[in-house]
Amino acid sequence: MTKQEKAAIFFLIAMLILGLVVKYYKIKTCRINPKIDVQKIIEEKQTIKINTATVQDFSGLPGIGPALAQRIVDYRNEFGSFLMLEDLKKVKGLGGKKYDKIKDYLVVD
Amino acid sequence: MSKRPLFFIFMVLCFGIWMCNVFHVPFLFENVHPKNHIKNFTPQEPVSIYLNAVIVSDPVSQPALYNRIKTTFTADCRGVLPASVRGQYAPTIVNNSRLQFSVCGLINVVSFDSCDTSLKYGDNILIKGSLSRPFTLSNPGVFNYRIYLAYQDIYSVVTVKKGDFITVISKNKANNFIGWALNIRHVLIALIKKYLPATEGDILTGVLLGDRSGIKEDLNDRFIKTGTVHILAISGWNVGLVASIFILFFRLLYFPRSLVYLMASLLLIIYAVLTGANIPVVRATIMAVALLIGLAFGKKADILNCLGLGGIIILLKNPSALFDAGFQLSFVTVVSMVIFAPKFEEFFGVNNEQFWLKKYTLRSLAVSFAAWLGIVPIVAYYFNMVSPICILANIPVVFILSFVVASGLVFLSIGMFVPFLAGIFAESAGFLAGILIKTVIIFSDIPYGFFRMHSWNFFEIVFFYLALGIIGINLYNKKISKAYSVMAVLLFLNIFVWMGIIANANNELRVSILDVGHGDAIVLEFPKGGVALIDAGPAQYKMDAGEDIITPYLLNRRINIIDAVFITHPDDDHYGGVMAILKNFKVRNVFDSGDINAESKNFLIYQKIVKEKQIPHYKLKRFDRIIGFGAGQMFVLNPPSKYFSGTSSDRNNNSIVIKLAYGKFSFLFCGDIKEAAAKDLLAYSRHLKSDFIKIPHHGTSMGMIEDAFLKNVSGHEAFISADSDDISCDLTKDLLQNRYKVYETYRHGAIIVLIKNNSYAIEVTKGINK
Repeated sequence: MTKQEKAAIFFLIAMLILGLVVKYYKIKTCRINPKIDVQKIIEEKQTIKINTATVQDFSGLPGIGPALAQRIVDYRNEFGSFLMLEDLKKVKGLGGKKYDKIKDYLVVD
Repeated sequence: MSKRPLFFIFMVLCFGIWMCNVFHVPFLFENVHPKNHIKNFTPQEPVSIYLNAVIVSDPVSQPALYNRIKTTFTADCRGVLPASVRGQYAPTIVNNSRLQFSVCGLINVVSFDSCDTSLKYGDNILIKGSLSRPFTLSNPGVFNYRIYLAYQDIYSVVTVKKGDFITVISKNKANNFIGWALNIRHVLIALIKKYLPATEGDILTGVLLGDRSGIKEDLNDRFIKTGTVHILAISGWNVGLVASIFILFFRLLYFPRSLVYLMASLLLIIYAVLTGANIPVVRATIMAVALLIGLAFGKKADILNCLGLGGIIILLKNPSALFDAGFQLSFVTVVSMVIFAPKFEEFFGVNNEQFWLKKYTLRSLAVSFAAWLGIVPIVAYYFNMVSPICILANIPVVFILSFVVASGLVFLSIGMFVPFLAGIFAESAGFLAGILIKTVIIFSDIPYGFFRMHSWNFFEIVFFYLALGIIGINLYNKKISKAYSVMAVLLFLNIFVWMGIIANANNELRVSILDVGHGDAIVLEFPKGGVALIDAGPAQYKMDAGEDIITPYLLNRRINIIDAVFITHPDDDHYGGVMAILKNFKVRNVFDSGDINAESKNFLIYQKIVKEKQIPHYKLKRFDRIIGFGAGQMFVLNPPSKYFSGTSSDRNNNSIVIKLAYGKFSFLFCGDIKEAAAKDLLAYSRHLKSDFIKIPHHGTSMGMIEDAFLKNVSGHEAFISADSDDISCDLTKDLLQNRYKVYETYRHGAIIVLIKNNSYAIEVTKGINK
């Protein structure tokens, strides 16, 4: 074999070994180990059903006074049941911040 | 070149057809379809029609679901009429050609029970049935039935069910010679059925008459794994054996040589027609006849020239045959054997060997290895496997085959003409067939005899054959340096390894909602290499989604290990395919809902396999979070810790619902939940919100709660995994109102969602119109 042929063969063998090393490295390190992390990610605070709750129920929430509670019920009477929690934001006076404070206590029914 | 003109022309022809296909040039010989070809009358959705046609294939009957008999055949159309015309006109259609639209073209007919099951080749029939495009599941890289039929020039299917009919108008309207040969075939099949036990009889029918329909799936698989399945497909070996036995017999009776050769040629042609005239047997027959006629006139013909002749004849009649797996395997095997077998024999020192057994074994080894070497890429491409055991298995199997064919031919010839002696000869044929079967079983059980792998791509195939070609040149031309062979092999190995590394090196989450008909099978591939599977599709009579769709799909994605399999609920169309997955892949964890399907034996098998393989098994319920998927986090939203009971479908309502959060995107997989669970989940609306949703229960309506549920998810893309357009209208309306873009496996085939950190893309396998 000539010098060039030997060099070419040596190069190809080196590339092959490199490739195999990369491949087995990936196999060893890239497996995922799924584990169940049993964690109460959702705490059961929701007690108030927004479509059947009364003005009194709403006034009990932090940051909601009787006037705002009445507006919620009025809105519901006029436009029908709430389909999602976010719809509460449409009630005048119940903006983003106030909504965020109370949303964990609410549930759509 | 000049020594083998026919072979050279054949090679040029192959290359020409291939190039025409690559550059989308219509072939000169392409099947140009006239305006009245039936495919122009075939609508997207099935339509009820009356059809006047002639049967042009040997009808095959098999048992089907629900105790029906399914009969399939190909028919050449003559006239068609929509069945909106009232039934009383049916008889007049037959006699009055003005009432029909004259059509032409081949179709496949599938009939369930409602026909005269004594249908035969050549019958002119009137069918009332449903005309439609062939149904196929579309998954990338997985066998597509519609394309397979298109290569046979068939683009439409007529299904005949309850309320439909097939009546025979007249007989013998096709080729009489073929009809006669097929009649003989039926007599022979009946003979085998009568005198031989079931398994041995099925194998003998396959080996001698080319009918594999009766062979059990498990046994057929063993033949495929050991690479001996070619003996069941009437290939060169069978033709050669039949010819040799025939010639030997008549030469022993001192018939003159040339006469025997010519008689044998005639017999082989009849035999080819009798066994169904598929491409490999046609190839072998043309070669054998050319060789024999040459010998009859005292000339020794060249194998490659005969092969070239066979190829030219086949391709001139049907250029698409070039892309048929049988064609490719058949021709490449012969070329490879002709090139390499003599050199391997030299290497093993066959010519210097005195001991007859060793000489025969070494020669067989040389031939077997030579044949195997040539078809490695083709088998990998079509069957997702490489089978080294094939080299060894073929040696005893082909040896025993000679005796099986000999005794089988004796049994059939005597049985046809002297019936009362048939039983005696059946014994030996059956016994030898039994030994053949046992041998194949032994070889198929040898561990590490075969490997499942991805379907080779263009570069891997090309560089393999390049290496093979250079080795071939090296063997015949001593002047060229051996270094080039070594370099070519190393180059191929490099391509192989590096393509694998490049193929999987991307930084995105790949969610594949596979097309498994009515059922779910979703593959999740995480960027650093993790793989999860949510549900494994159905496994029914002839279609196992796990084996036929998910396994090839995963193998082609170069996946061998599945980190997590989720079975959302114990319904057949969700866990049916999981047995095949557990068998074919290393599954590292199994998650299900803890619900059991007490009625189904298969579910018990699933649980048993999980236990036997000692796979960690977990039950999921609401509030569980699954970590370890790298950037992806999974939250389990259903079932609740107290299972639903008393709902319209408890099993469905207790499906696992998974919320996958990846980067800034989220995907909600809803299993098969219905109204009760959906309503319950509204309490956790904060967690329902997702960009993507896999719609529950194959697109059936969720009732009143649907609109609220979809609003709370407020996503952009909705995916439905179902097998028909039977998606509830209410759901479609709700999806539209809530501004979802909808993808369905029925219309789009498999749907691939590629999710990167800040963007995503969706790929479908087929367009909106099927």
